[in-house]
Order: sequence, then C-alpha cells, then structure tokens
Amino acid sequence: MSIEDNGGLRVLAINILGRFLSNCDNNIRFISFSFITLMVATWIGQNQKIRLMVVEINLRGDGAERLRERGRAKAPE
Amino acid sequence: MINFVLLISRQGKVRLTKWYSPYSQKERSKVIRELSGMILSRAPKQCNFVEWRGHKVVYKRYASLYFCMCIDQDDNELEVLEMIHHFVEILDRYFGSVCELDLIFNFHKAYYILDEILIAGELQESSKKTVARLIAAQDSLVENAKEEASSFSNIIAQATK
Repeated sequence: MSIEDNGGLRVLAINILGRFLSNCDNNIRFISFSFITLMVATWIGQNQKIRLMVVEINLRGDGAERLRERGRAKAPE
Repeated sequence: MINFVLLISRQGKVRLTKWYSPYSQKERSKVIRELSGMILSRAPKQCNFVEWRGHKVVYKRYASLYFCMCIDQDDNELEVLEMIHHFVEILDRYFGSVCELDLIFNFHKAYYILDEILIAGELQESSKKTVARLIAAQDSLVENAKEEASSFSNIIAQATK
C-alpha cells in the first residue's frame, strides 16, 4: 500500500515537523531534526521557515553534523 | 533494545555497569573511556542523545551522576529517557532521597533494582509499587538468611566449647 503525495501534503508534513523543530526542548528538536534528515533535500527547500530553523540549528551545532555533511542546509538567499 | 547501562560520576568514575550485549573486557573499558569522555564534555544545553558507533546513547544527568543507556538506531530515545527517569524514581523511593554514596555503598541493591526493571535489555516492570514490593521481599529474604547464619554460627560456637 502506498500513499499518494503531492506538494500540499509535503508542505503539511514539513509544517508539522516545524512545530516540533521550534520546540524549546532540545530533545524534541533533535528527534524532529533527525526525521527531517530522512527526508529528501528538496522538501527542506520548500518551506522558508524550516530552512531558517535548520540553518539556526546548524549554526548552534547540536546534532547537526549529518546535515552539514550532506550539504542539505544552505542559508536562504 | 538496550545494549548497556552505565552510571558515571562527574569525575568520570563508573558507579554501575550492566551489559546486555556481548562485549569483551577490552571493548568494555574502551567503550566506557570513549563514552565518558564524550558525555562529560557535552554542554548542559545540548540534547540528551549522542550518535555513537551506529547506536544511540541516551544520557541524563541527576546531581553528580550521569545515567547512560545505549540503544539501537531505530529505538525511541524519549522512551529511554523515561526509562532512566523511572529507574531514578525507584532508587529515590527505595533509598529515600538517593545520592551517589548510596549507590557506592549499596551497589548490590542498585543492581537488584535494575534487574527488576530491565531484563535482556528490555523494560519488564513499569510499576514502581511492584518493584518496591519485590525488593522489600528480597531484603527480608536476605535478613532471614543472615539470622539463620548467625544462629548456626552460635550453635557451632557453643558445640566447640
């Protein structure tokens, strides 16, 4: 069984993860962050808020090594 | 599955270890050295999860002790944090405001409690009351055995006079 996806669903998924990513607890941030790293790089680029959040976490350097290695988080233009 | 449980003090001394996966003595000392270096150097603001050797290490600091559990990559980290807290709460109830010295002098009891909670790296008992009851029963068994041993030694002492 497969679930059909479209742009809207992707944005919704990213927004839901973004809620957790903006949580003040670093543990919840880490888990949502690791979920995001499982996603395709294009998913991150679709939502400006998420991009900013990922860049912020990247700068803080807490558990963001994998994302930095893969070059998924690039600063918004 | 939990691969091992470590209790490390702020000074890097190991207070309790429990291994649920096969590690040689050499590997164990290497693991302890690596992890204590990694965990003790982490800032308090950082999250409680560390990715290490294809596993995830979940740790939490309580006073001067770090409680660490190593889990598989696909396990739930928040659940393991709750397990650590569960273990600490049971220790706290049993010792009555537990401190590092309690674990140093009564390490065998800490092992008993851990064995009641975890079996083969999986959570077995989620009820604090049940664990407390079982540990109390175990303590009474030990007391009875001590009394019997002392009475036997008295009988032997009298017989040899």
